[in-house]
Amino acid sequence: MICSTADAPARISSNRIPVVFQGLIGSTRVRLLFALSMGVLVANASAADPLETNGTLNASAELANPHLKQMGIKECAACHSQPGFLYPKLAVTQFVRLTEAVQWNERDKHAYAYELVRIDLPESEFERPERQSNRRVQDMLTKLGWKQGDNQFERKCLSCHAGTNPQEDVDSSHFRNNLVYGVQCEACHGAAEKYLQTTEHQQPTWRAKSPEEKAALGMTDLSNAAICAEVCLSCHLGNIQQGRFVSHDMYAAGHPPLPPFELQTFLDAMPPHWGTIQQKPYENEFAEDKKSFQFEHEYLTNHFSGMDSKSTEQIRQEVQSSFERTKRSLVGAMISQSSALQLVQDAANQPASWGDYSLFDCMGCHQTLYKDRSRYRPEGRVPGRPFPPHWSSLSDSALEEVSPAVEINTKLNQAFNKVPFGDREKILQDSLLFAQFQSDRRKRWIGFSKEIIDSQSTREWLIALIDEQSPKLADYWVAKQTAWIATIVVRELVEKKELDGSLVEADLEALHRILHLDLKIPQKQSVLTEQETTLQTAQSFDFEAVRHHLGSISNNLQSSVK
Amino acid sequence: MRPQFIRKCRSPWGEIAALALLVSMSSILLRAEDTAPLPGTTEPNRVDSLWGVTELIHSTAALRGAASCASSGCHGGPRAGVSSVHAPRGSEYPLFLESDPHGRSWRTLNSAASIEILTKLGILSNGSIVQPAAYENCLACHNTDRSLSIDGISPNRAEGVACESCHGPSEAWYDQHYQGPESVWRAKTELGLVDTKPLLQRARACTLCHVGAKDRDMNHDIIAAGHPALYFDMAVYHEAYPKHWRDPEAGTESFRAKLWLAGQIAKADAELELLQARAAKTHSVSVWPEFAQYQCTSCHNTLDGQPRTTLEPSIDWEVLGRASVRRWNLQGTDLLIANDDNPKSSELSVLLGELLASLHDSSTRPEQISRDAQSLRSAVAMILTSKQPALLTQWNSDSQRLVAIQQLQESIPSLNWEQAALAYVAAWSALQPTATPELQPPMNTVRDGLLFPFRSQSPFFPRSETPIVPPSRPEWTQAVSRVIRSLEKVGP
Repeated sequence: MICSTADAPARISSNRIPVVFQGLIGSTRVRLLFALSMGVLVANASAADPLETNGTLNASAELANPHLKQMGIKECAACHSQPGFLYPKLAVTQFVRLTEAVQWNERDKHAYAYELVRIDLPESEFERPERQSNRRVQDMLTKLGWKQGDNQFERKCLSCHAGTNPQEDVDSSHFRNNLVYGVQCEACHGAAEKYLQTTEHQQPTWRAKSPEEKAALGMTDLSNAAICAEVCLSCHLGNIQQGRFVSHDMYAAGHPPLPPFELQTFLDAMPPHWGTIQQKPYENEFAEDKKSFQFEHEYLTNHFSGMDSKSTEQIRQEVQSSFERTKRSLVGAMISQSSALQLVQDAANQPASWGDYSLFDCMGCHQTLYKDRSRYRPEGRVPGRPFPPHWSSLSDSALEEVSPAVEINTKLNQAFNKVPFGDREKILQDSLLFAQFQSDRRKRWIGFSKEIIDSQSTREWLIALIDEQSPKLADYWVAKQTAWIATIVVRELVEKKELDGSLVEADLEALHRILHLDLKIPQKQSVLTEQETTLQTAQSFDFEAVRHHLGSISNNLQSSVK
Repeated sequence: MRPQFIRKCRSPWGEIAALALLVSMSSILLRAEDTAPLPGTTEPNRVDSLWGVTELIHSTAALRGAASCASSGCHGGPRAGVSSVHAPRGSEYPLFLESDPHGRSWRTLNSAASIEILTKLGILSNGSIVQPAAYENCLACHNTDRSLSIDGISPNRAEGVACESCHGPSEAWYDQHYQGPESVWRAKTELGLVDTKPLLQRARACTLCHVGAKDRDMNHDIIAAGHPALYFDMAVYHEAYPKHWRDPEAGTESFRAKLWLAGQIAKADAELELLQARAAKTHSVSVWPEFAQYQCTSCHNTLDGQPRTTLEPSIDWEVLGRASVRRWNLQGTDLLIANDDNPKSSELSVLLGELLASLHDSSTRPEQISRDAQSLRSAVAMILTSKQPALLTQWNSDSQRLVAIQQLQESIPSLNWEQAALAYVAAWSALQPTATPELQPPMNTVRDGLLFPFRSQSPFFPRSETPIVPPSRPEWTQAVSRVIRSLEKVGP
């Protein structure tokens, strides 16, 4: 199918971007000990019915049903591209900006996820310098031997690059016409088939609905950090069940390596078309007064647990004090581990994926024969066996000590120590145990995402994290993820006046310089332009310096406790 | 006295031919006794006996130790007045003891580096051997006797790779082999004294350890723990060997070439035997997939694509994104396939293709790979026994030059480390030690292009203290072209 760009559906028109109201930072600090939250979560976990979970992350009510039909961005953009005269009367604009599609279209890289890989372009178009990534895709397809008509490009590339549903008919006009919008609304928020039909979605009462009720109609609760991370990770790490998996032959053909995932850092790299709960209600030119933000109590109690008996004002104060950015970093890291474990489980269920090199740590093999002697090598491993990436390996930290993570880790180590590329039979034998663990862990972190996080647990967690990751910092992916998290947490502590910024700013700057942490690639530019720098850094960065700066941050956190 | 037809053969190839004839005759006789007809392939034990080295693998015969060979009247010489190149030196043992690296191999296993390897592999823990089978795998190539003494950590006779490692356990022939030439002949033909005179057989004995065998496997686990990878070449190693024997042909023009060819074919058989055992997981240390079956630089290349050495990384995918099969030890089959007058070459080519395809496909079951390796190994054996290939009888320095030229030409565009290293060794084997001094500088450049950065080479090999600056790619390519031109000038 070759057509010119002129034939592609026109993009949504742009609009002025409203000023974002930054919510006031509350002063009340609510102390939350991790032990407490874990106690709650373990209690939840023990009540889980093992039959209810089939070992998949999608089995829960909070994540939208993948079998629903995607309606296409035009349906969403009809309302979500600019606020109109009708909306203030419905008092919707303090809850929702109604400029989402514009923000996304004008500035978000996801909107260009397809444009940068499309191959249905006239020959002359490929020669333009900014089409570097399209040329790369052409080259990849040649190397992979994927031909037009075998739908490999549609199935294996567009599941991420256009967020398509693996069940969809790739030849339908619906599928083809929507590609041009890249990773559009429904790819993350859930297929709109059902919730678009209910008039409630357009009413203020929608905000009073619980995430479970919305999920029943197909909408994913992205305000929950754990669920949001799962959705992001389905592409940014991979999800075999959803047909989103960069196999090693795709890397070998030219796909750039995926970076480690850090939820808050990645969210910061996106132009926000959303508001956090702390930022709502928005001050808005269309809003008549703040009181029009109806159902605020329901909205807050739906997203924060244990608040039912408190007044809206009390909850609001607690929410504003919470370390929400830190929470998203922590939860993002934890869900990365769950998603990585899920990838191993799913691959074990599919003999064709099992043993694909891309399930393993790149540097496990791509070490030169003479230089990387200082590369991170954990104890207790048979020499010469590849292991899954360190950055998303199940944490051994204190955070997991009451869960069976130690047992799961032992089983994984045994399986990957036994034979090169792991013992599939061993993983399959324990599949029920893994499924139960995943389900418990998922409940725990979804629940945790509804907690208030205080400054002490924030500090304790970062200190524990740096301590745990310190021996692994020779691995670029670990170093990068840890530095990203440290940056988010430290900046939030500084912002909330819990830490003197002058103590840590030099360390953060040094980390950014050494590890190339910036994610500032313009919307229409491919990551290929940064690939060489990133890979050279991965190969030769000064990990002792990274260890030093992270250690210095940790020391400052310990010595500056109020 | 040796039988007449053996004595007539002047070249080692003649002897191989004679030996092969004997083996094939005996195998025909044996076959007649079998009630079930053989499948299209020779059984592996027959293949082993073809090479005359069966005695060296899992022999139940008792060892007597090198000391029993070393009396001053026998091999502990020197013996006065020996001038014939056909006569034993009489000083084999002192030569071995004082200058042969094989005599130090038990001590190598006791070095700090080896202790580290044994510890990393979990074989040695708190001063005792906790994985006896894996330790026996080490001893198989580091000491003649692999049975452990009462201390549970050292072998019964700690003597390194001594006489009986290559010549066979002496229990059956020890008392007989010094009673005149006929007793030697009988010891060799009937009692299990391994005849290391025919080059093919000699090379096959070397490859037991320098490539591997079904009972000794230096695999990727051991390499990852610190052991140098095995890159054996018969001609190169033979040159470096402090010889306790004499080769009547040693000064002739084609000797290196013949050694090279013998090595290639012996390596292929050893590799296929090892692969068969690895994939069938018959050895206690075997795992599958076995990374040592693939080219090191296929995986061990940098992610950023920037060359750190002259020839690295240059990934020449055979199957996109999958490690390429290591061909270092499989060239022997290529040579037999390329041999025009060989009626079985097309069959061999098909079998090799099947084996490579199996190895490149991650979904192939290891049992299939083991079967493919066995079929190819048997087919190679059939060629060597059924009709003497011209390849073996007529190989000389001219044939070697042609092969070297072809391999050098192929290594220029590919810049593949393994291919380039094979080409260098082939060229080296085509050159006479003194005849071509003007080729030394470009040959050195070609060699230096294969080097990894200074101080990253195996600690077990001597090296100069001054770092060698590797040539740039254009310099290397130019040097290869110069070697090709010179070889063409000398050539037929």
